[in-house]
Amino acid sequence: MIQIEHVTKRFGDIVALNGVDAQIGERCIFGLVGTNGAGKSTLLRVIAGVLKAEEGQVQIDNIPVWENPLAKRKICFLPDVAMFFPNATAVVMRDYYQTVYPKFDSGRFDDLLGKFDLDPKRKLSTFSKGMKKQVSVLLGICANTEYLLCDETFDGLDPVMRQTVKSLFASEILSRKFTPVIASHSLREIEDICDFVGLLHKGGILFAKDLDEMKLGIHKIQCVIPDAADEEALLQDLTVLQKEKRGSLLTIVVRGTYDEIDWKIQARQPLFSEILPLTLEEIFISETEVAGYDIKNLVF
Amino acid sequence: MTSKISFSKLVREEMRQLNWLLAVQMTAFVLVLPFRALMSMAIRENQLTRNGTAEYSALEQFARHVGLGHPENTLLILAMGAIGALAAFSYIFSQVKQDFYHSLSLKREELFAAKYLASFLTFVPSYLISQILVLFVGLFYGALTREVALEIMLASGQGILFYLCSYSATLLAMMLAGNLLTAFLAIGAFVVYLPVCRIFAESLASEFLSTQMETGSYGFDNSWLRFTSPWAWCLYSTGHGGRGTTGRMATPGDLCQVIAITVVLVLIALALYRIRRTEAAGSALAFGVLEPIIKVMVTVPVSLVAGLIAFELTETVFFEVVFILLFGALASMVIEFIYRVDIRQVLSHMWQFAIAAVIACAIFFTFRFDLMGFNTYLPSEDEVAAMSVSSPFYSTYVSYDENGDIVYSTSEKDFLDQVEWEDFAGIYELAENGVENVRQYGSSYATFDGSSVYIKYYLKNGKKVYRRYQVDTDLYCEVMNALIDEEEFRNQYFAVCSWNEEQMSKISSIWVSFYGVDEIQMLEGEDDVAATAAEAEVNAGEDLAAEAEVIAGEDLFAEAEDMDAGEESDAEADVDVAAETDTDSAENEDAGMEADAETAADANYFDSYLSVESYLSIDISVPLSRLSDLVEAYREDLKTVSFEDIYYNDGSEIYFYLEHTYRSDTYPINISFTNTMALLKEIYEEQQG
Repeated sequence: MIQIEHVTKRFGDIVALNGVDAQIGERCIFGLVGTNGAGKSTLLRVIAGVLKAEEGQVQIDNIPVWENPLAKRKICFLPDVAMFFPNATAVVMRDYYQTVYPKFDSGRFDDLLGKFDLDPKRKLSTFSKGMKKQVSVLLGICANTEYLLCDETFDGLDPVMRQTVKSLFASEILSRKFTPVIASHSLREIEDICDFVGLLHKGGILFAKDLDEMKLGIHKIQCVIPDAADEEALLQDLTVLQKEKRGSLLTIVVRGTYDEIDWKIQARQPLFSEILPLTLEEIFISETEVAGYDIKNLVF
Repeated sequence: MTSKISFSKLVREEMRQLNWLLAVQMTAFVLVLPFRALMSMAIRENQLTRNGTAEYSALEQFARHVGLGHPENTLLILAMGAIGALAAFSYIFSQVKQDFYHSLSLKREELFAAKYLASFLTFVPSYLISQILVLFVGLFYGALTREVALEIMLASGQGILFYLCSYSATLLAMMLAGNLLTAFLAIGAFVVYLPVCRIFAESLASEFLSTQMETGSYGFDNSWLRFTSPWAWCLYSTGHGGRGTTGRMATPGDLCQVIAITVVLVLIALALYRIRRTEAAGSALAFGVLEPIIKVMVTVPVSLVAGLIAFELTETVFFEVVFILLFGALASMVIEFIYRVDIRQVLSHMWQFAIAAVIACAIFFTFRFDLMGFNTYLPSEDEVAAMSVSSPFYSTYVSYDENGDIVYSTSEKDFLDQVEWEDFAGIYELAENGVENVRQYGSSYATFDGSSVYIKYYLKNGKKVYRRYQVDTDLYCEVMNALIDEEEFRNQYFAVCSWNEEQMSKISSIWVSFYGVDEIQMLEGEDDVAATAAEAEVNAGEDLAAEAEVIAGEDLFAEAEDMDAGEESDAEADVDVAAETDTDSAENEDAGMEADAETAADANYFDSYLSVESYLSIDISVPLSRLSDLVEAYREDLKTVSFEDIYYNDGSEIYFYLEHTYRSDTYPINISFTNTMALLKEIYEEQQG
């Protein structure tokens, strides 16, 4: 488990992280979202032990990470711009990773390179941005560390590759102790990958929750209640996060369990009612509005 | 259980990343060491084939480029050290690379050691292979002796040490910088900052501290340069020790100092590396706290130079202040631009400039108006335990210290340190006069027409203070006349007069050079002198050239070394009339010499150009058997001659050479030294006869 305890990081006068507290559990895919400048990369670099927090600390499995090889052995950090040596090929990088990540699986790396149709002997400098990302992710996965910190790693990957990488992550999680932490500025990019999501804004985490849990606790309903008094009573009865009415069609986002909400609606004898799937964006809009923020100004 | 990174594997991988550096180093060293030696030997072979003779022997030719000494080789090694550090550690200027390296499960010191070792191990083979190739070149041409081979091996060890020193110094500069540009500036500053500051300080002192006594030797002294940077220290060490076949070797002491410096530099660099913030990459400086310090350190000297220029141009306080502020502000803005890379921010942090301006003004006007009272310093007589006064006659002064060891004085300071008089009333009077002249003539004091005299105060509190005064010549002569009447003074001032037999036995040869017409007339008679003068006139130009040649060459010492003291002492007196020595040369039908003769024929031209008397000289080698007679005669003469007699007629000199040294002690002589002159005339006539 990664424990982030009241981490504060400043760059001169700029407070990049302001007392961030969070926990990242094991064997899940943790998405870290936020606008540009929200502090995602900084948080990842603090977790990776690249930056030293002015206040607070990060622990990996209860071991402080700063200047601690014991903790850092559990981590592989993939920054937004991959570091490849000048004129290096995938093979050269593989050899270096093999040295600095002793559990690096060279055979698997070669195998995956083949599957991804990446030429192992071609200079990486001639690769496209997406191909470089692929090599970077493959190096990270094959490093066989317990935690893989990916900064904007999916930026540049096409949907097919994203799904492939997602499958790889899933397979790794199933086969060993593996926890990817993916930072992204786009919810859409990670919504189909992550199990947990943390929203970072202005150097602080607004919240971090299990995505399924969030989805179970928030529902979007479209219904038509013929009687205006009943409709008003229904709205009073539910914990409404959002409400929109077009003609007689009422669309609401409410907090609560499916059964509870459905029972309350059916009690008002609707002409029509339907529970719709929520996108991650809608969930976030709802959650952040509850937290007192206008999500449209934060993300997207 | 997770595994640890293997340090040896990491070093190997880091070396792989530096393969290009290995290629560069190998190319450079092969070209500069074995290839150069090979070409040099091949050229010599070609000379031999063409002319049947070569300028140098095979060994000499080989030794000209390899082994010890050779600053160009040292410079290359130092450059490679700097390049090695830049190549291995330039990652600290890249955020992307730091993200990678600093996320690895390594402590900073482990990564530091791996990179340091990797670049060192990249250097060693390229350098040593080149040195081994040099040995083969020497072997091939039959120029490799055991001594030369040993010196090449010694040079290799020395080179490795210099590499480490240069590498570590560069590393330290890099740790302070945030990007490659400022790293280069930091390295440059390491090299030039202290020498430049020293030059500025000396300029200020020589301009305003008119009573300051230069403490260097009589010749140009640049030994202080070694203290200015590790690179300078290495270069100094290269040519400082004893001479081997291939060049001068560094002394063990120098090498130990280089090792100590290297260790200190590495430790500081490592300490900085550990605390260096990763986010410093890309900014001008790695440590923000250094920004104002460096800004002030640069702005102050620039302001001082500007003030000095204004003083030279105008001697007006207003313009001096304007220059200090203007150029200080410009320097401050340039530095601010380097820090921020934003022209709009060049005026930020002006408080730092204000501090620099205040410091610069304080320093400048403290010197300018002698606010410390340096020039007018005069301790009360009660504070003074003893004093000493310089001699205008010496370029070197040899004496014995209280342990009986020979002490050489090569500067006024050295001389003043060797002598002291507790009865200092006269010398104190000179000092008072000097201080009074400072007060009276102010900034034009340096041009005051008087006699320059160096004085040392031995204060009762143990402090020693040196000053150079311009004193009234009449007073100077009066005081010195009184002093020279004292035996104790004479014995210190003319040290040989007080030497015992054992001390005098150290003298290996005596040489007297007469330049004055009066003295030569006394020796030769007037007619002979006229003839000699005519010949001297013809050869004057040649003498000059010959003298210049001797002075320019560094073989003076070597020749002296080759001289056999025994032979010298037994040899018949060698009478050398300078003009006569050039007779053979004059007979040559060399076009240049004919031109000299024509020139000499034109008396008007020559008279207006240079005095013939300047070239008229007689040298006498005095047998050692006459040493005690000579000293006794000289001692007797000193009792009767006045200081003025010597001061105004000090053209001729007696040289006492000391055995096993290249040093000589010089004493003035002229016709006032009647006993001495009579003795020398006797010796001269004996030798002529």
